[in-house]
Parts: sequence; C-alpha cells; structure tokens
Amino acid sequence: MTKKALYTLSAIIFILLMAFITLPPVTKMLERVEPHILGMPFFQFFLLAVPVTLACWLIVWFLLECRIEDREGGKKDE
Amino acid sequence: MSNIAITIVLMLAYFVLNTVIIKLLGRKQTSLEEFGVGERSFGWLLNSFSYIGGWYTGTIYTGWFSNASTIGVFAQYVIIYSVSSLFLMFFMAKPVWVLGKVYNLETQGDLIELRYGSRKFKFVFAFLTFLFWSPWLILEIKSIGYVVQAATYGSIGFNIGLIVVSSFVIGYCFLGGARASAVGGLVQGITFTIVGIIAVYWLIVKVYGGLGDMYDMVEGFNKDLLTLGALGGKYWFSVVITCTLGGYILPGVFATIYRADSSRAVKKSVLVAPIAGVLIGFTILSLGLGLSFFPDFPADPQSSAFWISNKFGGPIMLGLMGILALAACMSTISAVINTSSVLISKDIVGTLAPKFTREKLFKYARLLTIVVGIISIIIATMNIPNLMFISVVMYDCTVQAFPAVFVGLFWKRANIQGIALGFAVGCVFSLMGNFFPETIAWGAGWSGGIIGLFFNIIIVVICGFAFKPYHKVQEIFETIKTYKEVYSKRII
Repeated sequence: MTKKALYTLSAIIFILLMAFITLPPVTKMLERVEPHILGMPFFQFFLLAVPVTLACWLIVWFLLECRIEDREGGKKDE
Repeated sequence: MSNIAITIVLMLAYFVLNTVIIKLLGRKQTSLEEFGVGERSFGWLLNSFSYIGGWYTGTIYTGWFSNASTIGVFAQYVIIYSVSSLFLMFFMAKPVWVLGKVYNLETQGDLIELRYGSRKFKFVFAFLTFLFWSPWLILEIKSIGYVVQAATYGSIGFNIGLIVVSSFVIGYCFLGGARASAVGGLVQGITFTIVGIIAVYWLIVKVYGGLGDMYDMVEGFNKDLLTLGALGGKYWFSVVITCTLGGYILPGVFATIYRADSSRAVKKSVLVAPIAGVLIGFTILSLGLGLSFFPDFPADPQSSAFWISNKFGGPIMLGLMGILALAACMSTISAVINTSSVLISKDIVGTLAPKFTREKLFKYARLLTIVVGIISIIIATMNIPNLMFISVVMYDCTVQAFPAVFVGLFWKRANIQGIALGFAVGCVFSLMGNFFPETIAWGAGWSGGIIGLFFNIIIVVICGFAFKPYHKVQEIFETIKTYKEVYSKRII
C-alpha cells in the first residue's frame, strides 16, 4: 500500500464513521434504547463504538505509515 | 485529622509533586524558540500527555459532568470530537511540523503569514483566534475556584482558591515556558488519565454496582437520557462538527505540533491519546448519567462530582476528585497561557513593531505570561453571566478558521481573498445565529456556525478559481514534499 492510498482510505473511514454518528437521518434510526448490545442501550453502544473504532484505526494508520516510511528510507536518529 | 485537613493535605502534596517534577525536568529559558516551542525537542510521550493535559479541561468534572446528569448521553459528544480532532491532527501533523521546522514557525499566525503572504491578515487572524479562545481560560480559572471550594468542604473561598492555584501555574509558565507547561501537563495528564479512570470506575461500581446496573436505573427513571432527547439530531450534528473542526483549529494544537522533535513524535501520540480520551470521557460521563435520580442530588449539579465522591469515598475520594479536576484545570491553563503569551508577543506586538528583535519579543512573551495571567484572574473573580454561552459562541467562530488552515495546507489554490472573506462571512453568520437566532430562521434548524462554515467554504472555493494563489505557494508545498525527516526515538 502507498502512503497516498493509506491517507485516502483513512479519510474515507473518517467521513463514513462521522456521517454515521452525526447525520440526522442516521441518528434518528440509532436513537433507541432497545435492543441492548453488549449490555449497553442501543444508542449508547454506537456512541462508544464510533470513537473506539476511530481510535483503533488511528493506531493501525500510524503503524502502517511507519512501515511505509521506513521502507521508503526515512532517516532514524539512533 | 479532620476531613477538611485530609483534602487540603492531599492537594498540597500534589502541588509539591508537580513542583519537584517541573523543577527536575525544567530548563533555563534563554530564547523565544525555547520559551514558545521548547526548541522543538519534545519526545512522543511528553508531547502526548501534554496534549491530553491541554485538551481535557477541568470543566469536564463540573459543567460536563452536570450535563451528563441533565441531558444524558448527549453530553458524550465530547468523546467523539476529542477522537475526531485527533484524526485531523494526524492529517496535518507532517505539513505543519515540517513548515515549522524549516521556516522557524512558532505560532499558528506564523503559518498563516507563510501560507498566504500577508502580515495584516496574520495580525487579524491571531487577534481573533486569541479572542475566541480566551473565554475558556477564564472558565478554567473559575473552575479552579469552584473545585477548591467544593473539595475543601467550602473552607477555602472561591476567589482565594483560584488566585492561589492560578498564580502557581502562571509562576511555572513564566519561569519554565513551554517545557514547564508540557512537563506539568505530563504529570497532570497522567494523573487524570490513569488515576482518574481507575478512581472514577471504582466510584461507578460503588454507586451503581456497575455499568449495567446504572443503565437499568436510568431506563427505569428517564429513558430520554439514553437518546438525544429534545435537543435533537440537527443540534447534535452541529455540536459534533463545530467542535471537531473548531477544536483542532485552536492555537494550542499547533504549539503541540511545533514542540515535538519530529512529525512522527506528534503522530505517535495516537498510541495513547485517543484511547485515553475515550476512557476518560466515558467513565466520568457515565458516572454522572444516573446521579440526578438520587434524592439528595445537589441543587447545583456542577458540584455533583464532589458530592458523590464524598458520599461514597469520604474525604480521601473527595480530595482525589479535587486533585483530578485541578490537574485538568492546571494543564489547560498552562497550555493556554504559554501559547497566548507567545501569540500576542510574536503575532500582535511583533506585527505592530516589526523592528523588534527576537530577544525583545522573548522578553515580552515572558512578561505577557504574567499580564495575561493576572488579567484573566481578575476577570475570573468577577460575576460574568452567560460565560459558558459566550465560550460556546466563540467555538462557532473558531471553526471559521478551519478553511484558512486545513484547506490552505492541502489545496494550492486557496488564497488570501477567499480565506479573509470566507472567515469574515462565517463569523458574521456564527454571531447572528447565536445572538439573533431569528435572522437565520431560514436555516431549518442548523446552527449559525454550520451555516457560516458552509458559506465560508463556498467562498474559499470560488475565490480559489477566481484569483491567483500566493506566488510562493509552490515552494511551500515542495518543501513539505521533499523534506527528509529524522525520526527520533526520544520519549521525554
């Protein structure tokens, strides 16, 4: 994967997740208490799941970018 | 030992710990670069926790906590925008850091001047961003007074508390500059991240029996707290988007990027900051969610975090909650004061007096730490109605700087005409929407900030095609593309 592809993929993930949790037509469907997911009310689960997914993707993004940059020959300060 | 003495001793011990660590890791301040951006030498861990410290305000233990008990899960927008702002920071970490390193940028205004080639716009931009940011400084200083009073059973007055603690923060910012602010942020950030998450989760178990029991209780009393309630989806969208874009545009975020020893050190903060942010926000707001159903819930909900700590954990937990809230307040205040003093010195004084040397601007920056601090303390002791409202309005205005910074970093055609006009139009809509909401009634429920941002971006795009970009823009983008970075392994 190239760095450009990685950034494009990250932008798409970001826009999709933010649209999912903020756009009024979607939140109208999510705004329910039942059914519970993992012991949490329906909407609460997604309120937590979206930032957790974003946080996990940030870690993956960082690790992938490090690998690409190291492969491309960035200098390391030992 | 009395309960009051226990909480005061705990908080004093925390101040001693802060003083010792700041003194041990501090450096003598000799230049503007050292004072403003710590000579771009911060390792990833120092940078991460100073970012967390600056980002999470003390109001999360007062205002936001009380919001959780009154508006329910809506208050959790803070968790979403904290992580999404980090996403945007990741996108711009490299260009901002590289330009900072190559062109010796120390403020957000420096970046604006470099990108658009206009000192006049830099002056206006810096002045307005400081103006939009300053209510949060007052709010945080006020929060200190509130926290000290609540955590000492009212034995230490509001004004005395805020004056003493704020003076301590101003003192170490004056003496130690950006490094002292960051080291303080490291200590304070670790405190309310690690100790805070454990302590607050312990309280959730003690108070409710666990998260599941808490949700059952809330469902039984008021299901609306588990949805967006009467505030509605459009308001939710407006709040999350303006906070995401506005939060990342704050001058302190740029200072954090400049201070790192490489753009990789900035990006590495994502190993800690987002997960820590989710846990801090989720635990504290979950604790607040069901408290309003307790019969002895305080009349002033802002004190409910301290009330519940004392009720279930006695003076030791109350003292600990006081420390957590003070840590959050102090780290934010130090970040704002340090960044603001450099911003005023370099972007405002330096623009008005271009012949001033860097040595002179350095002296002004140090002096301004005291001046900004004292003026903020004086304002914080006054009774200002609607301060929280003013702060939110300012966020609506802050978000209008988004195209100037973000679009300008990635789109070569963005130019001064579009940025200046778009910023002005966006701010007018934001102010109209908040102070004269009837003027934007045609906006079908969208906030003034979102309507303003919409027109702002359209203006930037139209002007991008109508006018020529700054003649050095190609060179700036080439610098970002070709810069070979040294990836440091420094931690602190």
